[in-house]
Amino acid sequence: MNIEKTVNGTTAVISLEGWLDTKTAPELGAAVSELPAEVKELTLDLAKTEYISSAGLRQIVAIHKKMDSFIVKNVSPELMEIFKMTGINNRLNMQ
Amino acid sequence: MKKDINAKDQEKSQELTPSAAEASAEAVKKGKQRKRSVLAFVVAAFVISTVVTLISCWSVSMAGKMHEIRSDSSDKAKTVANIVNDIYSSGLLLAPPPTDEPTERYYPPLSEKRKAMLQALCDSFDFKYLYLLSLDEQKSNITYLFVVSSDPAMNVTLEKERPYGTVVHMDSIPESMISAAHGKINNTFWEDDNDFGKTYGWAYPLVMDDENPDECLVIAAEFDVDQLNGEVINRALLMSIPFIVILIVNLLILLFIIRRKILKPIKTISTKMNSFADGGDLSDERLNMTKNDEIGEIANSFDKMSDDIKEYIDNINDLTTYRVQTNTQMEIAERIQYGIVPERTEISEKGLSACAIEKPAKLVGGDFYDCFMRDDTHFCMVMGDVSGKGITAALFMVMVKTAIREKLVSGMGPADILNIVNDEICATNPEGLFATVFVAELDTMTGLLRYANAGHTAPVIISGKAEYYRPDPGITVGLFEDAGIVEGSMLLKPGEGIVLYTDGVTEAVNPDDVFYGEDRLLCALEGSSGAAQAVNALKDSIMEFYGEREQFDDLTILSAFYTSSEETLTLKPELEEMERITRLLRSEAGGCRNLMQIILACEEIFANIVNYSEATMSVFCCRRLEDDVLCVEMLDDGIAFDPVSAEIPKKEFEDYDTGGMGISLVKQITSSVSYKRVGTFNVLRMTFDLSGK
Repeated sequence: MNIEKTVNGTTAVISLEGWLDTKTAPELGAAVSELPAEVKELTLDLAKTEYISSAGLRQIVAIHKKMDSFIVKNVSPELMEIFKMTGINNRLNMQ
Repeated sequence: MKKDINAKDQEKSQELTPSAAEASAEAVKKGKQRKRSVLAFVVAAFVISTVVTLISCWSVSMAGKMHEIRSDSSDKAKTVANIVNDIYSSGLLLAPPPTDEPTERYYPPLSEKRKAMLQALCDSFDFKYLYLLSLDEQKSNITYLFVVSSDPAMNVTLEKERPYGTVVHMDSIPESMISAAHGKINNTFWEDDNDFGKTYGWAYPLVMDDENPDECLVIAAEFDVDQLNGEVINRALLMSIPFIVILIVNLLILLFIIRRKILKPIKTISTKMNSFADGGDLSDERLNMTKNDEIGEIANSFDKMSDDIKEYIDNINDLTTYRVQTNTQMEIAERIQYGIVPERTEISEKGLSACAIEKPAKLVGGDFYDCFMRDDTHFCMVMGDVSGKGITAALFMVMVKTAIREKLVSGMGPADILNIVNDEICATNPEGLFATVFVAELDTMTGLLRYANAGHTAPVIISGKAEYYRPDPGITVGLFEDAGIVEGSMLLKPGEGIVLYTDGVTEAVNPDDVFYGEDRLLCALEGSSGAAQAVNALKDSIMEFYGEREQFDDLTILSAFYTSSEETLTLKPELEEMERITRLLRSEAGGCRNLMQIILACEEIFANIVNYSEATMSVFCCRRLEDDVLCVEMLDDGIAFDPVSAEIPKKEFEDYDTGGMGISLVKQITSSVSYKRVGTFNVLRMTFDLSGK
């Protein structure tokens, strides 16, 4: 999984490419932790993410709790189905 | 069966036919012999009686004749004596003596005329010879005065041999001749056997001088013995004719009586006996003779015997019918058994090759096996041996087998099945029958073998080499309630197999009374790589071991191999292995719309195994059961955890970061998900609908 980070003051964008699974989810967690402390708004771009598992979802919820503002965007229909299964799409800002 | 019996009967009758023919031929022969023996008896009686009659008649007539001669001879002699006397006293004989020797009396030779007269006399009186002699007792000489014969030829001889005055010296002079010389009549005969033939002689005094009555000439007559005998025989024959006629009549009467009183009843009895022997109508074989003699006794005995035999035959018929029925029943039982336990079964499925044979030693044996696919991925096998043989064992076997199968089909575990079946049998087992049973279930996806043993022989595991696998032997089914049979499990690797068998295998005995034994069994199975190969190798080895000896125990073998499959992965409990799972799923369900979700479900489970189960290994297998159904089984040897029924606490969204979504995702993605703990293994099974929901 490739993680691409773009930090712009208090906002940042993280793009994920590949599989966000049990093995790679901690990498996402690590990438978020490494963001500058002033970043309070994060956008997660899943345009190139093919797969997400419950570990990935857990990570996303954790990020959501951490950030003042958290947007998940470009979710493919396949991934959206999984979000819907867990119901967390209702609580996340999905675009 | 009916056909068989008829065939046997035919054979039997064919066997009987020649001997029956022989018997009847013998009977005919015997009949002739019997007739001949009666005839011989009659002829012998006739001959003996005739001979006896003839002898007695001959002796009677001989005695009669002699008496007759004796009584006649006085008269004849007197007549002859008088005639001779007349001849000599008539003066015709008064001629001078031929010698100078003075004699007081002189008896000149007879003239030819007189001689002829005397010859005629001789003939008419049946004398052979008639002669006159004077006797000189001191010199023991006799002097013939004349000798005449009834035979003219003999007279010529006599002229020469015994002319007038011939003196003959005699060693002994017959008593009657001496008496006659002294003027006494002695009625005894003497016997002469000389050149003149065989004769009886008789003497009579011829008184010539009244003053000296005791100095007499002797007139002698001789009778021809042969002629006499001829006469006697003729007379005897004549006399015996009426006797013989009476004898023949007697014999005929006797023969008639014998025929009527003895032969005919005997013939009736023998005819009845023959018809009895030929298997004729037995309903009318009584003689019912009312005779009150020995034959009647025999007839009564025969009647009693025929009644008894009829009863025996009826009994035998009943028994035969019963036996035929029993045989038919046995055959039906055998057919049913063959239907229930086929001679050979071969099953080949994904991940499985199985083969089983049953070779019963007798009509109906106590061994049984059962093997079948319970569902798409589970192979069930049962191997059992019921105590005893025959119908009872077969019924019991059917009962046990059916009970086990029914529970196997319902998906019950092997140990539960055996415990329940044991309790069921114990509750209704008046005959005290029991069975050893081994029940196993092979998961053809993971190679997981679940088994339970109820006292059956230990199975053999083949993994290149063959080895005994000795689980808890358990307790024989049917003996005790609450048998407490436990389940065991083992994981077969691809290419490994199990062999089940009955004690008919290890206890096979060769002609030298050696048991087949466990070592030969392992040897025969060594190196087998498939079920059919293993079963055939073992069977051939045993049949070869039996040699010429008859198989005396059932031979039942069942083998199941977990065959290698590309759909199966053996995994280390590491997350990196997820890549292999993903690859496999892609190849099995590539192109499916929900492939990602399937991978997700599998990952959730595998992540659990890796993170929480402390497993040392895991097996992953996926298989398409139908076109749009994918089945996944995941096995691990970690701590028991049932994710399906585990209660997941309802979490708030904020708590989702601590987990809790995985299982719920799995449940949503799968069509079905089930968990079971088998021995030391967790087995999770999921199915997915590939048509996409």
